[in-house]
Amino acid sequence: MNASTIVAAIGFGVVTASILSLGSVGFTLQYGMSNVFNLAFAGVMGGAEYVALAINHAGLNIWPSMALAALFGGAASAALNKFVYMPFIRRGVKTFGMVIITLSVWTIIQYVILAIVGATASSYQLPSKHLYVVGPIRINGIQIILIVIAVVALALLEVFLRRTLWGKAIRGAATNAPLARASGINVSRIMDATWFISGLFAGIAGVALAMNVASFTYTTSGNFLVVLVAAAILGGVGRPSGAMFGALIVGIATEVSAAIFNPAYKDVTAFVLLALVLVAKPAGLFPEAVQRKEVVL
Amino acid sequence: MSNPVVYYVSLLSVYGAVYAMACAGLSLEFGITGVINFGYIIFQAAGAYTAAVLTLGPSSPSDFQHYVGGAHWPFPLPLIAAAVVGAVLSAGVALLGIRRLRSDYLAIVLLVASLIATTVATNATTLVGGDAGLALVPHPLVSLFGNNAEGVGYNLAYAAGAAVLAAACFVVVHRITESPYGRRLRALRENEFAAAAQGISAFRLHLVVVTAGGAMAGLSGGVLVQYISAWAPSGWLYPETFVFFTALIVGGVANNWGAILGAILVPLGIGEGVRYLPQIGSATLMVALQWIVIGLLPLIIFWFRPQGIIPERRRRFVGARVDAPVSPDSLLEEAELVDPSRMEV
Amino acid sequence: MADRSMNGSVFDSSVRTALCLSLTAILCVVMSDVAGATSRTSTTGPLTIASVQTFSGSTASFGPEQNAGCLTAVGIINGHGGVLHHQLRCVPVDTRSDVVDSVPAVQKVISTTKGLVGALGPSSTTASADVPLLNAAHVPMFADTGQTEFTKKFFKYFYRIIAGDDSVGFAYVIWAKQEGFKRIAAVYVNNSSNEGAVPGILAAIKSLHLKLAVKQAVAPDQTSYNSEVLALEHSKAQVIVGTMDPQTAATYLTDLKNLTGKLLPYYSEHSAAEPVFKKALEGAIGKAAFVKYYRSIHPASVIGGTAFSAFKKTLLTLSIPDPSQWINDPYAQGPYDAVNYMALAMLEAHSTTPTVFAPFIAQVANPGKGKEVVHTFSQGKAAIAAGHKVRYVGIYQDVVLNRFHDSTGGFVVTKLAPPATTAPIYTISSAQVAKVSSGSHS
Repeated sequence: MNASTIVAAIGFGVVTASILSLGSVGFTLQYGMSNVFNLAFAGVMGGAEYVALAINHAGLNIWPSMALAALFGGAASAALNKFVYMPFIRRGVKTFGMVIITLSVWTIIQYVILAIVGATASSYQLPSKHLYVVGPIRINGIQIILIVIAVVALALLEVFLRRTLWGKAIRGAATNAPLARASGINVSRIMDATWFISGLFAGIAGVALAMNVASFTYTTSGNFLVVLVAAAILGGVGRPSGAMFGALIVGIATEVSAAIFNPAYKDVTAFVLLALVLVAKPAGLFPEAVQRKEVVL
Repeated sequence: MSNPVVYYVSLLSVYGAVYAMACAGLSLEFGITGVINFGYIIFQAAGAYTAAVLTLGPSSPSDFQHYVGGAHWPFPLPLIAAAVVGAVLSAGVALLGIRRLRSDYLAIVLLVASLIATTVATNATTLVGGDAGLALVPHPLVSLFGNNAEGVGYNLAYAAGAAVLAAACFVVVHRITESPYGRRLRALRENEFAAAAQGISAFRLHLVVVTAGGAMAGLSGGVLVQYISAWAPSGWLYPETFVFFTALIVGGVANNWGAILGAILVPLGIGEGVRYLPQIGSATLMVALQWIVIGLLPLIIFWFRPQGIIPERRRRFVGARVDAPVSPDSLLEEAELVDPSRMEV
Repeated sequence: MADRSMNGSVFDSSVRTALCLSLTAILCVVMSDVAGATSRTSTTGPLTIASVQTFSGSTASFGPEQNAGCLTAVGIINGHGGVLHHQLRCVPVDTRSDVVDSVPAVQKVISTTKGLVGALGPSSTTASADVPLLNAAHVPMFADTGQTEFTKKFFKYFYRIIAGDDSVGFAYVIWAKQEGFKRIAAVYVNNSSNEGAVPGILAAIKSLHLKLAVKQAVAPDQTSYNSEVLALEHSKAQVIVGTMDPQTAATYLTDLKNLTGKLLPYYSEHSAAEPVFKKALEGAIGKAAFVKYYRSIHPASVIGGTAFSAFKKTLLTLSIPDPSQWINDPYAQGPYDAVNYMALAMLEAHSTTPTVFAPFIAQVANPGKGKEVVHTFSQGKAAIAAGHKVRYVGIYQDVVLNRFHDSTGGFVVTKLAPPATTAPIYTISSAQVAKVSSGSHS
């Protein structure tokens, strides 16, 4: 372990962070809007992974497959919220009960995937990867594209949320739904839009993860979920920009710790970091102005 | 009934008692006091490892399993030690976390602790046996039954003992919840700020409750490990905690019968019951189906009965005892029908 | 007590009634199912082989793999009239990869199954809890675990024909030396099934005067192994040995290829024809690289010959998803042989009661004077009917059960012979392993 391995680790961390950020931003969008701690996010990621697999193996290049899988993720997320979560929320289930519900939904999705796909490991058909070596940093062409995709997607999201009318409506509804409703915003449509967008991110994150891992099974997205959530919470729930930074911090910290300590404890670093942040700055590093506790109807 | 059948029924009874014990502790922490301990399973695991190590004796380098410590303590010391370890660990958590953290953040920190714990237990291979865990843990008091741990007598006795311990836990929980102490706890759960205004020390109460809950969790681990003779990280991954929470919510929060019912219905009933589903299609399909049913049932129950099967009793101060002095406790007594799904995190 | 509930009973009487009724109903169903299993063997009912394995979780492929072998053997046996007028059947038992959950699963099958005569599995994930259970219930089991616990502790009904972890480590290093390598990296997943090989690897390296470049216990299911790969490169290892589950191995090797631009030879216990492993690695590093770099070291099994042909023929007739994927998979072939051992033992013992026929299992498996060597169930049945003692030599060669019922047979090094079969390259005999292992004490 020396300076060059640490610099190399930072490079790996950036790649990990880009995939993480897609996931944690998607997760935090959902949580921020509905206050639903949606564990089934990993289920949507998993579903998107296999949709992309089917399309990719049918002959389409991985990138358009990813795009189509993202659309699937968006639709699935929006449907999940509209037809499963909202009815439960309307029935009076609040935040804590919803955790159990999302967990149950995730279990169902996971095992539906197992039933369809089987207990096998799959890979995408990827274009060949060219390795770029810049000093101690090693990165291949596909990882660079993934970073670019992440950066572009996140930038677009930020622009969308801050500059467009829809984006402002989303932020308004996330902050104070009754007020938004009173202002004439169709909160229900806004929610659908938010879940759709966050589902897009789930789809991209799932496919990106599966690409980077090179071989994935029905449990792959589930294993990723915990670090993803850690990054989201670290950044401050409900704040996509916070989630981005949370992902960057977690991604780099885990890889650097893998270079220094036993890499098997890589994820533990993320968890310890999260615990420390929660103790020192409970709202996350980039907290929202308003803390909400209710699920939004 | 033949021997294997008796063994199976006693096994299910032991599991039921263990789940019930764990649910009792969690009911105290969560149902009564509103502490969301998402790392609850750690305390059961700690108790299990403690009891195992204290009955296995020290490990030698040539042994197939390696762990720290080791002794040959006689019954019931390992079980007591298991409860104590669970209690001490929980108290530690309370001291470190409860004061500083709001309940939902504490929940996440505890969840994270659970993840760290399984990772460390798996990778530190000489700590508690690593991923393979501990095996061949001796059964307690087998000599009283002719050293036949598979015999009818021993198994029924074990099941009875486990049931007695579970009942004891519930008595403890009952005493706490029906006492003035319990009223303070419920006040704490409903409205921490108002309770503080009334002079109720949140921290001390939390500490006591979490310690008691941890003790029950540790005890449940000890009872379980000495029955199945093995323990490994695969048996206490972080989702196990959610199984107990689901059990409480389904059975009914903040009341003993609800906790018992939940323990029997969810981990035992749903978890083991799905194995009786008929085999259709390939083996993988059948297994996937079992898990899908495991996921569906809480949803169904939540939909039709979100307050749990046995809801918490509505408590009102009845003016019957007019001679009772009006105390801060009594003013805080009234609590709404508790719908756990409506609990705010 | 001041508390009194004002609203009457604790819970609605209708709910209470519904609850009581449904609990009673459930109890009745379970008890009738359970009570029905009063005797272990009936005069004509089917005999059950329990396939105790992981059907879910990260090793979810082990279950269908083992089951395929079971179903094939059972199919052949039933086609030849069964065993002593009983048909056989395979019942899958999912251990859920969880030590605590597997115990009720195994006990359920023990208690509720009429005519349970044998078991396949359990795997190392749950063996520590399940083996004592099956053993106490007198159920002969052919387990899928190399854990050293079972090399050192005697369980009367435990049998193992796959390699023990302690000897497979030696086999890896023997082959590495044979290939001329000096610097060996031990890379393996940090779980119970794979750590056990490490002492053997280390001892063999010492005994053969090679060098351990690096030892890495990797956590499975991580998204990348970049740090480990860099450390591997830094250590100048020439070959990687050690078992990882298919997905982890694929990720690790992909990272190796991506970061360093090249691959290293890699040996593990997975067969190159194991469908999930093959698919994962080919998908990750490509078919050519898989053939070039991967070597499998597993108990000697033969692609070809009478036993294999019988296996293949019946396997392809099974109505399971894609049966052809298991043709060349030694971990589907092993269970096939296991069922045959048990069936022939039953024939030799003229009994389907496990306590009676179990001692005959070792007899049927081990060599001995005057035993007729048979390769299929029908051959064995005929020989036994003619009054001979048999030794069944199935797809696994060189099976010799010692007093712990562990097979001390040799290993074979194989590589993939595209598209889906394997070619043996080298045989490592048990004598060779013993020699290296004793050499390490000098």
